[in-house]
Amino acid sequence: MSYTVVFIEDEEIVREEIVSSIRWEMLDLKLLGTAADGLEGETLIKQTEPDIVITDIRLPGQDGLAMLSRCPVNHAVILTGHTDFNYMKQAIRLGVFDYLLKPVDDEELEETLSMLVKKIQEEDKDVAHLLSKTSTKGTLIELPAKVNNHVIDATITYISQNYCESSGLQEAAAYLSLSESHLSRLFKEVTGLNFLQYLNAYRVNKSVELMRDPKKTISEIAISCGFPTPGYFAKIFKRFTEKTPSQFRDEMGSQF
Amino acid sequence: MILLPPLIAATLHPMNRIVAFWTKKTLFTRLFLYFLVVLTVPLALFASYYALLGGRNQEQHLMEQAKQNALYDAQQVGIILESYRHKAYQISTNELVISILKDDRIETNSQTSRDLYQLLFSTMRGDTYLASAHLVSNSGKVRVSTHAFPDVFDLRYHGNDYDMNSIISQNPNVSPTASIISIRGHRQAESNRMVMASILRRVYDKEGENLGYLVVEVFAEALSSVLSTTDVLADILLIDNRVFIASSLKYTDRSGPFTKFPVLTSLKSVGRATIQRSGSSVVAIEAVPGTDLLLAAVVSSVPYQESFDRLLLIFIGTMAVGSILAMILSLLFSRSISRPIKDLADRMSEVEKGNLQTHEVTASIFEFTQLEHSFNVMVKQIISLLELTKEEEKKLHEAERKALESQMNPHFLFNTLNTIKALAKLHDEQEIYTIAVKLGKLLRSTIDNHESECTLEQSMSLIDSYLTIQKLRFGEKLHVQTYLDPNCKDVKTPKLIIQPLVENAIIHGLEPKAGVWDLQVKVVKLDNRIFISVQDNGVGLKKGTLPDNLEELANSSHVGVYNVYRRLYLKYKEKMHISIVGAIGEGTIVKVSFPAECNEQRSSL
Repeated sequence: MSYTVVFIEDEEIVREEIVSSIRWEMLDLKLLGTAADGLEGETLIKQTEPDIVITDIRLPGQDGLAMLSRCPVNHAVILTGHTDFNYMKQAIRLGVFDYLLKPVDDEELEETLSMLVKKIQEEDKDVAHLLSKTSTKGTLIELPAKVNNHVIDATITYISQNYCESSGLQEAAAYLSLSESHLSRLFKEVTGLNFLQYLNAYRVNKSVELMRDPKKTISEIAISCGFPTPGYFAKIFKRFTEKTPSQFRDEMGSQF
Repeated sequence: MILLPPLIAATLHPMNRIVAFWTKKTLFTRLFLYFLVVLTVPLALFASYYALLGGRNQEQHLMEQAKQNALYDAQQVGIILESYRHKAYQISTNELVISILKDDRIETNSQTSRDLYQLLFSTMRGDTYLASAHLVSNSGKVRVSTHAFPDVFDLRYHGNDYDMNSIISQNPNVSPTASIISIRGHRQAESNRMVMASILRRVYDKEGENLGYLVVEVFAEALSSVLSTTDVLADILLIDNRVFIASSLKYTDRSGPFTKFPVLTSLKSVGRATIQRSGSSVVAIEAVPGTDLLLAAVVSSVPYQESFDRLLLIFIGTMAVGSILAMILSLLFSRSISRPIKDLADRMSEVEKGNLQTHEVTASIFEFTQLEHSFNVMVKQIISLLELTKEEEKKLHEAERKALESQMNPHFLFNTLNTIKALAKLHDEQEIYTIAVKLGKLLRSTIDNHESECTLEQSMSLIDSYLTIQKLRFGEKLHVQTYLDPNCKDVKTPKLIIQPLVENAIIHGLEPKAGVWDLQVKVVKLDNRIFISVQDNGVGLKKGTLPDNLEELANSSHVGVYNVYRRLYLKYKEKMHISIVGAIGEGTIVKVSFPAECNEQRSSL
């Protein structure tokens, strides 16, 4: 299964060049489309919900970082001429995978993308591994709840209390007075999942609980489980269950 | 007990006020108090000395003086009286006198009467204004005198009765022939002379029959002329202690019983040789030698008392004048201090408010002038500092402006390079593509890198970018070999220490040379030291082009080498070494070495 990519860049020549030069198929990627400004990009991302977003920072309409913060983006690569410290800091906060400087070497970009693909594959493997275990507690996904590490236990407690907010790794790290990178590494070491996977799995579990109430729409469930958009909810849900929430609900209804 | 607390409170309250007064005084009060202390202490010491010891000393002195005078005067009076007694003796024992008195008759203008007068006057030796001699027979028929015969001695009318206290009296206790000196005959004689003392002698014939009397009367002048002439004595009294009569030698008309002399009545006793205080006077009594009389010298202490009172007055006056002076002086002085202080304080507060205008104020006190001066200097320094700061700020703004003007937007540069790269790729221009990408990397690590250090790996990738471009420029004739010891790729060094050397090798070493160009860049680690060598086979370095001490390159045109040297020196000091060896036609080799301080941490971005 190939991962999907969108590319946002305002310069037509550069856009054309990247689109034609990068060997997408070889990298196991599928380019879904390109956009020339931040607003167009936002629409594109929301429509296509790609796995990877490659974007410039300085864009007409809104800058690339603002665009990323408003969309449900899992993985992003920045391609820019700017080495502004504030941009870099913001990019790290948004969990950007890499920050490449123009003029960018095409080989370099390909290398970065292949590394990112590897990473996504590993994550998917983790999810698959998680799903392969049959749940004992009646939940959809078996998640470690008690790991004998007080920091991670505290993190898990934090997630269980704040999953419905739009909080993420940054907020959890601030709550625990740890650096984001440290918490992220520790979480992966102890639970075998990264923070965002765990959070999303937890949210999916919660959403399954809420689906039992037939009065609730999918959109309502998505929002009350802390997903920014129903589309993103659907995408995450599908990754864990290989079904859309509606399909899942229909099947679930037929069981009762 | 119940009343005690308010009492204490009442007493404490003014105490507190006094304490407050003492702790918080104005300059004026403080100065005034000091002046008063300075004024009062010596005056008080002097006054107390005078009051405590001066009075006693003075009395002692007065007594001494009175005694001395009394002694002297008694002696003098004694001498005078003795001389007249002698005269009385001469006359009373004269044959002529005896015969006349025996006859109890004298013819006026007869030879005998002339002889008698002759005798009297010669004996009295002409000082008839000092004394008089009177001769009287028992019957009173013969009455001869050097002056007018006084009625008191006229025995025809008076008779001579001891008990009646008659003028001429005789002490029965003494020898019948001895003369008697009395002061009872005090009266005014003719020509206003006062009789002070009378010397009486009986005249006897050879058989011892009392024929009559001789009286020598001593006038006041005779005695007062020999007295000590000091004005100290208030009075000199001649006293007859037996009959309690006294008469003054100073005020010759005063005579009579003691009651007439208050000085004497208040004495405890009028004996021989005493010194006593009597009222406001000091009285010294001495015996007049050869007589039963006493002489009293009276010294009044009133003038001393008065002088003491005057002194007290002077003291008070001095105090008053001194206090007023002290007040005026302290007022003036405190003003002379407080005014400059106030001026200074005013100016300070003005400076505080930001008014930095200096105006020369000259204080009349040297110290204040100095203070003023220092303050002015300070203000001036502040002003010059402010000006300096302003100037520097201006310069800084200027520099910033220039920097902003000169700084071409690097993003534009990088984006343009990116566009060139994209175009090259689209048109399949591989070399342009490479140049654009490498140049981008080169510029990234030079103009867009704000860190002062980088790893050797980063340095070498920069060299690679640089040499890639140069190779594209010079084609096949440039042969490059680079080697980075994998052990030391993470070693951090100051940035741009290899690239300038490589650039120098190409520009100065290789470019002027025809034929094949060889360039070797090697970085190795040995014994925890990094060795970098840049070697070329170019035209070679002429000896003496570079000085032995690279520090001398500071202001020369060899900026590249000097910058490399400076960057390394700043980090490694004496632990770094740099050598440049070259030979004409054979090329140049630059060797740099410094300690390897391996830094494991790599920045992720």
